[in-house]
Amino acid sequence: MGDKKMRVLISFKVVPDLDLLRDKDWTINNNLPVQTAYVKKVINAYDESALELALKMVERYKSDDQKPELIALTVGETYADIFLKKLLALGFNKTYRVQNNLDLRFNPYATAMIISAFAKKYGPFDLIAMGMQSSDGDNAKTALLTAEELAWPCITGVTGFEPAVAGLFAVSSISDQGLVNQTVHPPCILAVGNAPSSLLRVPTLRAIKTAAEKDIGLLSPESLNCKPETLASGNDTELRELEAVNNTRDGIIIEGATAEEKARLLYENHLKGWLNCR
Amino acid sequence: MKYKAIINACSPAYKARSEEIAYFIKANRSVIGNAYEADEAVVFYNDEHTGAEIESCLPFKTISMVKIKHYQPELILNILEESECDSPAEIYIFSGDLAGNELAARFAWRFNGSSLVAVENITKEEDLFIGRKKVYSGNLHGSFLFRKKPYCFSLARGLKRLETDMDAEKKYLTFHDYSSTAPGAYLDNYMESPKEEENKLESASFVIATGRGTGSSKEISRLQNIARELGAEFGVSRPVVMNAWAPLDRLIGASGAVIGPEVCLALAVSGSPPFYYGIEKSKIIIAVNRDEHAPILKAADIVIIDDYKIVIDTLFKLLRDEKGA
Repeated sequence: MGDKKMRVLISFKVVPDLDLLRDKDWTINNNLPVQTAYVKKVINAYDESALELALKMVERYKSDDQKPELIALTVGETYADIFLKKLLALGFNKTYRVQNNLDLRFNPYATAMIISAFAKKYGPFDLIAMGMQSSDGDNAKTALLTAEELAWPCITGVTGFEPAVAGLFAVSSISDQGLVNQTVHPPCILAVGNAPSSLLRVPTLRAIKTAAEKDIGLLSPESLNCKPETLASGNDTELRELEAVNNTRDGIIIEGATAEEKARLLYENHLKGWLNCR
Repeated sequence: MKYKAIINACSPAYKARSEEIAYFIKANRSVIGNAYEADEAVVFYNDEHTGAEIESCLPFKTISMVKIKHYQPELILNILEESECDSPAEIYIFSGDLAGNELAARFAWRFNGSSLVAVENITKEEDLFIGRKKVYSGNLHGSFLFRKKPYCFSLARGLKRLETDMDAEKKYLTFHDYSSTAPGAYLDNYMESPKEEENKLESASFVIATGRGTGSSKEISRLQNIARELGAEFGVSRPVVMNAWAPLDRLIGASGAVIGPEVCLALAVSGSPPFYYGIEKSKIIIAVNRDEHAPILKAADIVIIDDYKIVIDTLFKLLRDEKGA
């Protein structure tokens, strides 16, 4: 275990639960981003894994004195506060929200600039972890740009991290080559990918009650020396158009009195010849 | 326009990823231009494959081979920064894999250019360079203007491939060896458990895919056994992996394997866009789902609206009887 108390920042995004949208909900008006304000909000799946992995990492420390300080940060509207309270209930020491009025869905530059500015002002941090991609923008760039802005190394596809000897961290990840286990000196950015068994745990009712009295740090981009106009213009790409994805196929429905009969018809009419010829 | 392809040949799937880039270049000649002399690739490789083995199967005329100890983005970015600073290309095309995504975004930052990840195609409107990719978890396509050169992008996974022409004219090669260069002071220890080969799911002709609707790890194991008996590869959606009901190498979807079998039998999957991304290249999709409103039913060729358990058990019995007959 490390000798000094570590500080770990987890940045997460609250997104609409896109699984709740049906085809007709994907209406595109004048190429404007889709209206999802009315849709139930969830923590972005990869960010959820990053938060849970951080909690698991803290559990690896035996002594309370050595347990890293966990800080959660999100950039977004007030609807994120309920999730920040939940994180306080789960054991995060501090939570912050940067109130933001820009549409960040396709602007990973702005998000990365805000996270970097926060890390500089409220750091030092030993690790900054976040999901590798969000479900709305699908930009997959925020962690990478944060690493570049801070000039820190970045490990992607992370599936776990835990303390190692002498203040180092052991990081496991999936790469194109296979499984990778690295021991790294902080500071480092971790972009969390498909981490098995990383659904965020549920806090106890008592913890929720206690957390309700704790404060969320409310910041503005300006308080972090981020000018909104620069955040908007600094993005290297610009969304020009959105269009529906058409996945429609024939959809021949096999009718039958029972499931067995339908399976038999599928086999006889569509699969038998092919399976036997392979 | 002068362009370069950047390839991670430390990956066992480097040939497929290179052929995807080659097809992309061919399909987008009207945008990129016909500057064949610019048909150049920078290839990072290590001891997993020999340089000769790699250059013989890559469809590029000019290849810059860079030997490294193992794939390490910090080192690769530093090497590219040094090698490209004198006369950077206008376009950098990165492979459709994890390496391509991370290198594209970080390289663009260092060269004050612009980047997109998982691009499906590009267009040019007068002087405007535009990349198209899936957004909103695959529910929509977004077209994005690249604001600054160099334009750096990784390809979407599972694009078409252009097979290597082994009789192509002579290749021009350069070699650089960075295999003894450390990636950076931050790294204390590094250990890789390499994949032996390309994911079998991606080359299978028959795949049985399933999702959270199966309800338990026990049921997933049962289906995996049936798939084996039927001679099919077995794949699952992300929630199944997140619940640890199946290992990561079985994952199909935007962040897993992108398959293109003759037949994909989708059992109890809703067909959410991130999952469908992984099976959309299948020639025939057969969907079995009790929910008549499940999105997969509209996106399949053949549909059974019923209990998948009875359907797969009956199919298994029919095939076993046939074999035994």
